[in-house]
Amino acid sequence: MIKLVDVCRTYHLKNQDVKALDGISLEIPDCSFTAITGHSGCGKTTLLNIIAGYDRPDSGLYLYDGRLVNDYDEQKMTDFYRHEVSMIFQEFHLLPYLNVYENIRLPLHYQKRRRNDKEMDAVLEQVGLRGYGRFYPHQLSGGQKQRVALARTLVSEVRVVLADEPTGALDRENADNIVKLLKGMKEYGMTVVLVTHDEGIAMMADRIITLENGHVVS
Amino acid sequence: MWLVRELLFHRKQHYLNVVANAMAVFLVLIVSVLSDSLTRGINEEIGSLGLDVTMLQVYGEVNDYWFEDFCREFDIKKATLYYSFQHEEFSVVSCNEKLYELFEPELLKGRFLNETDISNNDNVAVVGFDAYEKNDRKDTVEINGVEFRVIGVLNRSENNLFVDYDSSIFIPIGYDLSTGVRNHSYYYAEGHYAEAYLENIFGENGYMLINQSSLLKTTGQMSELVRKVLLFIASVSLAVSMTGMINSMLAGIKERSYEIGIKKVMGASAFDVYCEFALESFAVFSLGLLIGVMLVILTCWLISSAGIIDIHVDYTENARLIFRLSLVGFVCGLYPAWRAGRITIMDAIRKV
Ligand SMILES: Nc1ncnc2c1ncn2[C@@H]1O[C@H](COP(=O)(O)OP(=O)(O)OP(=O)(O)O)[C@@H](O)[C@H]1O
Ligand SMILES: [Mg+2]
Repeated sequence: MIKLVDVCRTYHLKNQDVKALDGISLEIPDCSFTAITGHSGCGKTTLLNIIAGYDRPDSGLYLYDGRLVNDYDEQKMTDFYRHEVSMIFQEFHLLPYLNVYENIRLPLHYQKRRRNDKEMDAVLEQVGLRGYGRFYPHQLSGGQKQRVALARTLVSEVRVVLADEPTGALDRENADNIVKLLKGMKEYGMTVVLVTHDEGIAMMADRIITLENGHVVS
Repeated sequence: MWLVRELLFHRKQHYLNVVANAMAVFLVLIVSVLSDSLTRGINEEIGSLGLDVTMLQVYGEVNDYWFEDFCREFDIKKATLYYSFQHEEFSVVSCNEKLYELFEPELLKGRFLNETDISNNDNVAVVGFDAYEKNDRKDTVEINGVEFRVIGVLNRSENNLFVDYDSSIFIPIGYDLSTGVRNHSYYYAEGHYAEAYLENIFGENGYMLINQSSLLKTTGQMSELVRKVLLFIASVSLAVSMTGMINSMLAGIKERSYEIGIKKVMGASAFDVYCEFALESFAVFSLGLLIGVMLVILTCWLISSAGIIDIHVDYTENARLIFRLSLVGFVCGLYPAWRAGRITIMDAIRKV
C-alpha cells in the first residue's frame, strides 16, 4: 500500500520558488486502478516521480507497505526500482539499439532472472505483439512501442505500475487498448496509477484523484 | 551480449577515439621498438670491433722515454706507439710490428712490417685498401720524396674507431718524414686509464684517452637518453589522446543520460551502469590498442624488409609496455563511467 502524508515538493528556481506539491496526503490500496487528473502544471508528474522514488519530497512522509521510503539509501532505492515500482512514460522509453525481446528482458537482466524467448512470446501475445520479437523500436508504431513498454513492465513483475500519460501520443483506439491492458494488470496483483488528461480514460479507473495547484481536491 | 549492440549503436562517438588511441599507442610502441633496435645496432657495431683497446693521443712534441716506464708502472703487456701525420690524402703511420699484434688487421696480400724491417729501417710500406687503390695499385709509394716498396696490402675494414686503416700507409717507425705537427699515439690494451699519471706528464689538456668500453657506455647512455625523451614525447601524445577520450566519453554520457535513465528505471544500480561504461570505454581503448599494435607490427615488418635497420623486438619488455598502456586506458575509462553511474533518473527525465 502506498501512503503519502502531507507531502510537499518545491522547485527552487533562480528568482522564484514553485510549489509543485503542497501538502498532499493520499492512500492507494494494493491491486487498485487509480487515475490522477488535473490541469496542466498542477503537479501530477511531480507526484508520480515521488511515488516512483525518482524524486524525494522536501517534507512529509512517503510510506510504502509501512516502510518509510524517505530514508531509503541508494541500495534500497535500487531494489525498490527493481522489484516494487515501474514507470511507463509518454515517450515509450525503449532502448533504440535493442530489439523487442531484449528491451523486454532489460528488467530481468538487472533482477538477475532469466526467461527464454518462448516465455517472452507469451507476454508479447498478451499485449498483441505476437511475432514482433525481433523488431527494433524504430520499426514500430507509437502504439506498438507503448505496448512493448507495457510488456516490459509485465515481465518485470513489479507490484506498482505508474503511467504518466501513456496515451498522450496515441490515437483513441490505441489509447483504449493501452488502458485496457493497464487495467488488466490488476489481475496480476499489480497496483496501477495512471495520470491522464482524458476524462473518458479516467472514468475507467476504480478511483479518480484530482489535483489542483499541488493540492488534492477530490 | 547486448552491450556489444550498445557499443555498435554509439560507434560514431568512438571512431575518433579509436583513431587517436591507435596513434598514441603506435607512437609509444614504435619509439620503444625502434630506439631499442637502434641502440642495439650501435652497440653491436661498436662491440663488433671486439677490442678492449685504449688509445692515448698526445699533442705536441714529446720525448718517448716515459713510455716504457709507463708500461712497467701499470703492468701493460701489449702496447705500442706510433706517429701519424697527413700526407696528401693518406695518413702515414710510422709504427713497429707490435701494432699488428694489437689490431691484427686482415691482409689482402703480402705481409705486415716485421721486426727486421723495423730494425733495418727498410724502405718498405704496408698500405690500406683505399690507399692502394688511390696509388693505382702500384708496388711503390712515394712519401715526401722517399720511395717505399709495398710489401703488403690490407683488406678493406670498415670497423675501426681509432685509425682509418683503409687510407693509411704504414711505414717503419724510424722514419721521421713529417713536415707539420705529429700525432703521438700509443695503443695499449687492457683498458688502463692511469689518468693521474698521464696528467702529471702531459698536463691536463696535453693528452686524450679513448677507450672502447667507455665509448660503448657513453653511446649507450646517449641512446638511452634519446629513447627516454622520445618515449616521453610519445607519452604526452598518449596523455592528449586519453584526455580526449575522457572528454568525449563525458560528452557522450550527457547525450546518453536518456538511456542511463531507462536502465535505472529498469532497476540498474549505479554500479551496474558504472561497469557497463567502464567496459565500453575499455573495449574502445582495446580496439585502439589492437590497431596500434598491428600498425607497429606492420611498420616494423616494412622497415626490416626494406633493410633500413634490423628490427629487434624485446617481447617481454613490449608486452609489459602494452599491459601498462591498457592499464592506463582502463583507469582513464573509470572516471567517465563513475560519472555515468551517478546520473539519476530525474536527471535523465529532465533531459528529455
Ligand atoms: N524540474 C523542474 N524545475 C522547476 N520547476 C518544475 C520542474 N518540474 C516541474 N516544475 C513545475 O512544477 C509544477 C508542476 O509540474 P508537473 O510536471 O508536476 O505538472 P503536470 O501536472 O505533470 O503537468 P502536465 O499535465 O502538463 O504534464 C509546474 O508549475 C512546473 O512548472
Ligand atoms: Mg506531466
